[in-house]
Amino acid sequence: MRVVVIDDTWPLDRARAILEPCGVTVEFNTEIAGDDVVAVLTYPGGKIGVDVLDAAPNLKAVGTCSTGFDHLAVDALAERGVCCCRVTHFCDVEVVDHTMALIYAVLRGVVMLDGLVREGTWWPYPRAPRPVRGSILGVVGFGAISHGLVETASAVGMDVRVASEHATAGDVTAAGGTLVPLDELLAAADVVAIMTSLTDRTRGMIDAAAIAKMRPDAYLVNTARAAIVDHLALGRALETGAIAGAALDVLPVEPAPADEPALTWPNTIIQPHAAWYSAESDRRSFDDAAEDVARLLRGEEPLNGMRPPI
Amino acid sequence: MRRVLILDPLWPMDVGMEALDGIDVTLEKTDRIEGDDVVAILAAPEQTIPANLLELAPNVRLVGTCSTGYDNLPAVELSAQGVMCLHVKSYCDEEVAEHTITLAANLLRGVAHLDGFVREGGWWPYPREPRRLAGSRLGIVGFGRIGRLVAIQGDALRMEVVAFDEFVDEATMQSRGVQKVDLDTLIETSDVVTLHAPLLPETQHLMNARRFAQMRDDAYLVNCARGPLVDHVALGDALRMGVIAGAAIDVYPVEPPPVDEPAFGWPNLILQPHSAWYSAEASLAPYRRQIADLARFLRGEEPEGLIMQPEGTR
Repeated sequence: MRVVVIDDTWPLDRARAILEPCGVTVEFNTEIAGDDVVAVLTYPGGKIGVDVLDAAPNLKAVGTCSTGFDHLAVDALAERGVCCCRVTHFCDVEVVDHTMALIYAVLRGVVMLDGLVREGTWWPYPRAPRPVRGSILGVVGFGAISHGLVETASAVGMDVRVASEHATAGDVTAAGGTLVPLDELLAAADVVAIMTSLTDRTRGMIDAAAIAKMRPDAYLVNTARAAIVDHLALGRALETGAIAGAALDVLPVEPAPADEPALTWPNTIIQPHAAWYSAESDRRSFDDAAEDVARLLRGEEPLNGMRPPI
Repeated sequence: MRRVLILDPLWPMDVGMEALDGIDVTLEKTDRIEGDDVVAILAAPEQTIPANLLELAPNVRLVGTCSTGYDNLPAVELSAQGVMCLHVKSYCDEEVAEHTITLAANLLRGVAHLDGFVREGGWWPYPREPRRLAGSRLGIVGFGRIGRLVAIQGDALRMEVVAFDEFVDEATMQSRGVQKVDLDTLIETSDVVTLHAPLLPETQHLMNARRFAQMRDDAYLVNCARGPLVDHVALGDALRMGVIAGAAIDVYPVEPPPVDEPAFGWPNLILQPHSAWYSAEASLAPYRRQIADLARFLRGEEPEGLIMQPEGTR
């Protein structure tokens, strides 16, 4: 029996260590074909449709090294007995760390000041650093990552407010924050951090009207998904000085095309969708997917298997 | 009339002056030290006070620097001649600690580097791999007021905090969740080494070529203290040759750095314009405190910011 890995960056030695005890061989291959193929390991760029069963009729499992699964025909595959497994919470720590680094960066102005020193500026600072302790952090959303951010930001002494339709005031208070309506959060915050998942309800939630409620000296940090924020409205707010700046780890089109407008916006830090990354999270994204596939092959229930209805 | 010289062209003459109400004195901005009627001098941090001060203005009995560091004052020599030397204690400790942890977090997460990379058309794979803050080892050299605040922030970010300070005992560090280590261990094992020591003859070039060679090749240096704590040339060599992964400096051998400052060409370096101390509140606090201390001195009370007791007043 074979497991086919279609991602050429997947560390094969570790996939073998995890899967070979199940009595399979693991190989890299661009083709998924043969009666002996029982599982596939893939990535967001590797689409798996139900037609995969034409060439590999005995397929039982698909593992992807991502949380998102829009590249997998989950329902159709499940109807034919194939379970798709994704990875979850493998980078919660990293996203909290990176978001904190960006919050510190905008409040203390370090990226702008670095550029200004190189242009010969010294004093007075065109971008005045502000205190972190006591500044108000507005966190939009209250999932697992957001929970970690609220805990960490309150531990460094920030005054943390949370807007969420699902959270209870008690849960937010226990994490170190205060639950408030979104409008109140936007009007009060020194830094607004977008931490919600992208759904039909949150798409475009931070629109021109929402941005207009922000303080002129406030910053927006987005390490969640670009489509939650009206990108062009954000650009106008930055260009007119309606808000002080932004730090974006996510863009409407990734990788950023050469004509991405955010590349010309003032007071904007741009990251290459890097908040999720560390050597540990990178490893976990592969290993957790392989381990779930191994569970399936041993006849156990996978931790993140997706079977309809999902 | 007693005169006080202000050796600082940027000193705001409208801040804290109410403390001097009812005291017979004139304040005068100047760049020259002279006059028998001069009783006190308040100076900018960039202003060096000469050791022969009393030859220029024999009746000066108070000299203050508008900064925490007082390497611009010959405090030992002047105190021996009966002059009170003042600095401003802890007006920006919190700001320096926050700026330090900002730079440490930004180095470990590669933020400035990745921002530049995206602007050059890059996306993936990252040329500078972000690392976890949680569990990274933060090595604090000098466990004074600022070093302790850095430790609190590092701990809040779930970093493993170690410190070296020959004058602070293990129990004091342990009570703050910090492990006391010797300097060699700190430099050899830390992900980020951050300097919070005063500039003294024995701390000059604390970080030199030998020390850089001791650091891990994936480690970072943060210096928000004083430029001469680091052998600048050795830092440039370490960065260019990949002896260490990167650095962030808020202080330089010469400030502002000249246009031909070599650091502008070094890789993996974040440069700051001596801005760690700054917040709107902190920017006015030293002036307020120095004027308040001047008022105490003129009323014959003891100033709060004395660096050491001068001769003849013990």
